[in-house]
Amino acid sequence: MNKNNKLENLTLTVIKTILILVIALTIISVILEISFSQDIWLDSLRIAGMNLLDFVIIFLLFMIPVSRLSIMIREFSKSKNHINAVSEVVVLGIILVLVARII
Amino acid sequence: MYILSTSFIAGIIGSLLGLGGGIILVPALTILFDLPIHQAIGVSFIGVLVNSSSSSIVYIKNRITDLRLSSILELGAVTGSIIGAYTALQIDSSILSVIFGIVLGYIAINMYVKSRKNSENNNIESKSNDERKYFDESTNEIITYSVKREKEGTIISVIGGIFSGLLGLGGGAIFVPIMNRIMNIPIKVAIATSSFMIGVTSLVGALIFFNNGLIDVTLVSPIILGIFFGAQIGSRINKVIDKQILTNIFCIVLIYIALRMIINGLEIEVLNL
Repeated sequence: MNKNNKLENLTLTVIKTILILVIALTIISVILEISFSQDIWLDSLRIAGMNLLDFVIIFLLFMIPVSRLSIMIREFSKSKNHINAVSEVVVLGIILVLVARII
Repeated sequence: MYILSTSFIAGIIGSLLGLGGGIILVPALTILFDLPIHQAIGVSFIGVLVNSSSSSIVYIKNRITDLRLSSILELGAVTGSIIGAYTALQIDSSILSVIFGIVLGYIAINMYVKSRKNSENNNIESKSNDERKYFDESTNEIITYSVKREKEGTIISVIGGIFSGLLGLGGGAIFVPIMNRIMNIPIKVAIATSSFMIGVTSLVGALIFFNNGLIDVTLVSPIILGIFFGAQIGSRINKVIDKQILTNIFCIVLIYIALRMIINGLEIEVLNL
């Protein structure tokens, strides 16, 4: 039960932290979009066809499932739930392959 | 600003009906903003990902989500999501619109029938060594259950994944009945676990659509904010509103949207001929 609680707490903390960060950055992005300042410095830094702030937002959003998968793999391995750990490793592997195709 | 308010409304309705934002967002973007359906599905994955993360926080906090079960079902769901997303890329937008309309119609009718009968499997028997528990706040009871037919559930979850990847929906309308009816999972745990899982299936769909240039980055920020705050408001309205009347009204709205999607798809097909 304690091991389950630890896994839940860790997963909860990670999802919450990243989501708060995503929402905060998105609010900043929308404010900047309305104002003129975005054109001056953010648009000069472009990654994968988008400005730096949009890239960071999408990257962080995509990191939510990736981070929680990594935590679950670690915790399942520790608690010797090998089937669960292997299943999550395969899912994470698929996601990393899809990311690699974009890069 | 229009996209922000549309996704805000989509977030509220999705949260009220427990279906996620995609079910309203995709038709709204195609019908109201004339966005090609492939692009609407692409940005819908982002909305579903935000919705999943936001609702997972609440469900994990209340210790309803079955993380072990999700890890098993995710494998089938992700496989299905890849099949669905690549199929969507090959399908013509008119056919995709018709498929979306049919699935939406099915979900609306299913939701209406369920709200009348309230026929979920709540008589969960637990006769296994692998007993799992959760605390049900509404009854103040600790509910014990055990997972049955894990292999079958994993295989069938591929279907949920296919619909998720194909149409940019969460897939909860398929995952929840699979878990509840086939795997003997209490309905609340099924909903919470499904919400948690669809984060991964929508990420897979988003990556495939992103790789094919079908996610318009300028729409991402308003959709994230709209869906997030809409879902927060929706979950609060949910506590004070009569669910039966609400479900009936939205069933009619969903059936209308479904018909519009089917007609739109068929009209394009007729024009092409």
